[in-house]
Amino acid sequence: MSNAQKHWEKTRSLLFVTLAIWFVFSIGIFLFAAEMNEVTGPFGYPWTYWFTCQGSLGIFVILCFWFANRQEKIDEEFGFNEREDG
Amino acid sequence: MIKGKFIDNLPKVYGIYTGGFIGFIILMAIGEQMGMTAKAIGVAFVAFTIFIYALIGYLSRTAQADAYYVAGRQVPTVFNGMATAADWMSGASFVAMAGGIYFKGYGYMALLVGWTGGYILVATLLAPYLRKFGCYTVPDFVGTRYGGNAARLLAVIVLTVASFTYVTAQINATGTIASVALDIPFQYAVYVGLVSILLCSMLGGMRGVTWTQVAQYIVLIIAYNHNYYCKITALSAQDKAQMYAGAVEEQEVSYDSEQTVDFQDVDLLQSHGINVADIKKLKGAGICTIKGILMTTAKKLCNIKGLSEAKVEKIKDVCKTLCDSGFVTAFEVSERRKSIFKISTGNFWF
Repeated sequence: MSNAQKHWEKTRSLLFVTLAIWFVFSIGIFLFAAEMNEVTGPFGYPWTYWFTCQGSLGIFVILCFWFANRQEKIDEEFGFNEREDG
Repeated sequence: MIKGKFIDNLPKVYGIYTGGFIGFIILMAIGEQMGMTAKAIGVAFVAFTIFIYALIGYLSRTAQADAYYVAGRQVPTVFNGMATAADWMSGASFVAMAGGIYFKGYGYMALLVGWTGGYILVATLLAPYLRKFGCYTVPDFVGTRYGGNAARLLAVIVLTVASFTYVTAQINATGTIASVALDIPFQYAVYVGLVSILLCSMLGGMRGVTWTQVAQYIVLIIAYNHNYYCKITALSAQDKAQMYAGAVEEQEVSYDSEQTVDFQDVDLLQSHGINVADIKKLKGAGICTIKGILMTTAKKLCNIKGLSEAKVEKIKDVCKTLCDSGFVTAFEVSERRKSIFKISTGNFWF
């Protein structure tokens, strides 16, 4: 396998992992919204409510950073990085 | 000539800008103490921001495609992040979404998830490839990747439809702010707002927009954190601070609270010096709106357990000052209702 192919392989699996996490926290958990809302979660709010206001959003922000960092590492590993602009 | 120097001095430039902004706020506070009217302050604020944005737009004017569409690919990461964050918090979320959630409740909060989650989709599926292909716009990328003008056209249609709702909300917010600040009717204010936006963005393209967005980010982050700070103090320092936070929140949520106050619920009284326990008692007696209090006789209010005559008088006074008009015709009410709807949702799709 060529260098570019290996790079794409890794990039693609990172992409799918990221999208899977995105799916779980934007759609997945809300399929059980009614049940989850019965249970009290952080700060005394129902779980669904908390996830809509803070939980999912926070996870998305962290996910963004994590994804960008991982991608940067993959690019570096195969010599595709473009970090010269700082 | 500005570019090279400007990029190197970014933190300094925006540091000076932040200081200037805080200085401006202090100046306005002093002005208020010296008897400057709320209207004059509003106009000064709008004039100040438009002046800054127009200045940035003018300074970053350019005729090169690379600078116009992608700011010459020269924006440092952190500043790019600031500009993107300002997009998240812009008019549509600051005014329209806050208003939507305020009026329609939980259902509207789904927007928050989609709004934020969209960034993941852009970051994973679109942005890296757009960059690698060296394209400027999404239709450009789709056209190059899938070949042919059919794909390009499809991308244009999807983008137009998707951004239509967003732009509607944005323009509505622009018009509302301009009409409140300049005290002119909404239908003219919209054009004033649009002209100032064009003034700021046409000359400099993406370069101008990015630098204005960074400037806006600083304003927004101060505004949001100020509110947050007030809430924190409210939690620790009991009643007085709580009232203050309530007042700040009220201002944040909608521009039109002044007009619609007679339909608001009694919780509003909290920001006018009535304590929570008394409001609870009112609610317990089935009086949930300001109008409800005005419609109930003082004698009946005194009969509610725990409300003294003095308290009732105070509550009544506050309510009267809140809606001084006494009676309004049905026509007026319907007119007001119309304006509420327009301003708050900013979006006819919902």
